Amino acid sequence: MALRGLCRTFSGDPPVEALRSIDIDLAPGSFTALIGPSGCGKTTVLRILAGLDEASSGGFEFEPSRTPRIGYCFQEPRLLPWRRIDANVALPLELEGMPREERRRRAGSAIERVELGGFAAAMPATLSGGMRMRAAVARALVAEPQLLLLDEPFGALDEVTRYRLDEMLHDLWRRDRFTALLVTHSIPEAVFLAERVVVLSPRPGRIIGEVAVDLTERTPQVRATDEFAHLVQRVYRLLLEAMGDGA
Amino acid sequence: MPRIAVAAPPIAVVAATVLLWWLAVRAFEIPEYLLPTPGAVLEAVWVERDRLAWGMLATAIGASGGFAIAAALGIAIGSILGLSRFLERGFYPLTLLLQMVPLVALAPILVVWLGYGQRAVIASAAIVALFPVIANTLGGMRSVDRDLEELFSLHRAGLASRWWRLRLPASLPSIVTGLRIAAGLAVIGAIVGEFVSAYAGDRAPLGMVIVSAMREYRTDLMFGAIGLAAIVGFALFGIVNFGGWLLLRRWHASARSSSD
Repeated sequence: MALRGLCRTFSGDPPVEALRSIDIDLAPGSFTALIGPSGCGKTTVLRILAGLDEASSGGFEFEPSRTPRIGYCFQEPRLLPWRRIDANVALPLELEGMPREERRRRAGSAIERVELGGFAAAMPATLSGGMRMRAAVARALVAEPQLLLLDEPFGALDEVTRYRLDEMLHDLWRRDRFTALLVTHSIPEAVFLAERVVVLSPRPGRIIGEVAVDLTERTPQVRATDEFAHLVQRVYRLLLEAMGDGA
Repeated sequence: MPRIAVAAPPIAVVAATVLLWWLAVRAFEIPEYLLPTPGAVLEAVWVERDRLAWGMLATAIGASGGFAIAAALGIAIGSILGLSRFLERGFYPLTLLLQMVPLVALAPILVVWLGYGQRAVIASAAIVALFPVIANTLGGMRSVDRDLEELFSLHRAGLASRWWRLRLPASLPSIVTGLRIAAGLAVIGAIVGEFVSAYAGDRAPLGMVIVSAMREYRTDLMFGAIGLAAIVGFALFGIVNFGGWLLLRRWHASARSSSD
């Protein structure tokens, strides 16, 4: 899977060029993070991949010419407030027309995997922000996607909760090996999760450079190592360059 | 708030009103045919209890039949108008215009179309109750969370699935508000329908009881029938309210605060 020459210009007066010729390879089972100043079109990349928006030119290529199953995690949990957590998690399966029993079984296992066991019958309004986001991750994973798109899913959470959810996401990825594309504002989050951090420039978004993340292990302790700090610095320098402040 | 503190003020006001009524009739020696005493009204209700019970039943059937039609039709029309800006812009002003028509004035026409009897009563109740259901359904459909709509687009949900799984439940709080208004209006529509669609006999509806009591100057019976019509309205409203609470209590703030 790859993005080739992706451009997106929003029509309007004047037209807004959001993305300019984006190329990203998404090797099967890889984890890529996309980072850049706000308004640089990061989210637009995900929306185009998910079919919620259309590229002006270029786009999403995949082989074998079969559309990959896509899971999407929005910035907000976007749970249906009238449904229990299990019914929310099962929604993508329900919309596919999967039989109820099978749906229930898969939703139950997805809920277990995000460590929400025991809250399957809870209503969204009774859960904390972090738990609601876990449910949203479970919903994105329930259909066993080949490509998981994450649009700054934990941005609204407090730092400690965010770290915990990053660790959970890393474990899920290591186990299931879906291809992941994460959009984030947080450099430590990008470094902790991704094998590769791609840095975008301010609008129109272009790729400025990338940093390969070769952490030997990704435990909570790694965040306190020099190795980690060094990677964060490298991404930060690229970002400064992108903003035109580092020259 | 303790139950007693909630219930006491309205009970006190009603009791004081009834007492004042009784005192006024006695003090000013108002003739019975203008304003009977509360006791006389209760006595008339008791004497005519069979006739009034059948009347209540007939009116309840007319009003709830009309209400059911208004609810189904109103939700359907509101949902369809909510599908596109074009439909809404095209039809909604028309429905507002229709709302300006004094709908109860249509009752005689309904009798011409549907004949004397309960069908005209149900139609009258339905027409009067229809518009608030349309307006509130449309309002609900229009304010469905865009983010949730996008979630359904992501999964390529069809129109029917989107309506059933997203738009209808999201609009439910607003629809319930419309149905509450419709419950009261349905009884008004039914009574007016009964005034003009005159089907008399032992099992005449309350509207007919009121008209024939008027011809006999039986004010006590008229008051009794009006009171019972109000009870029918209260009952219908109560059922709708309870139904709304059942549907919304698990997730919507409007139901949760009233149950606490």
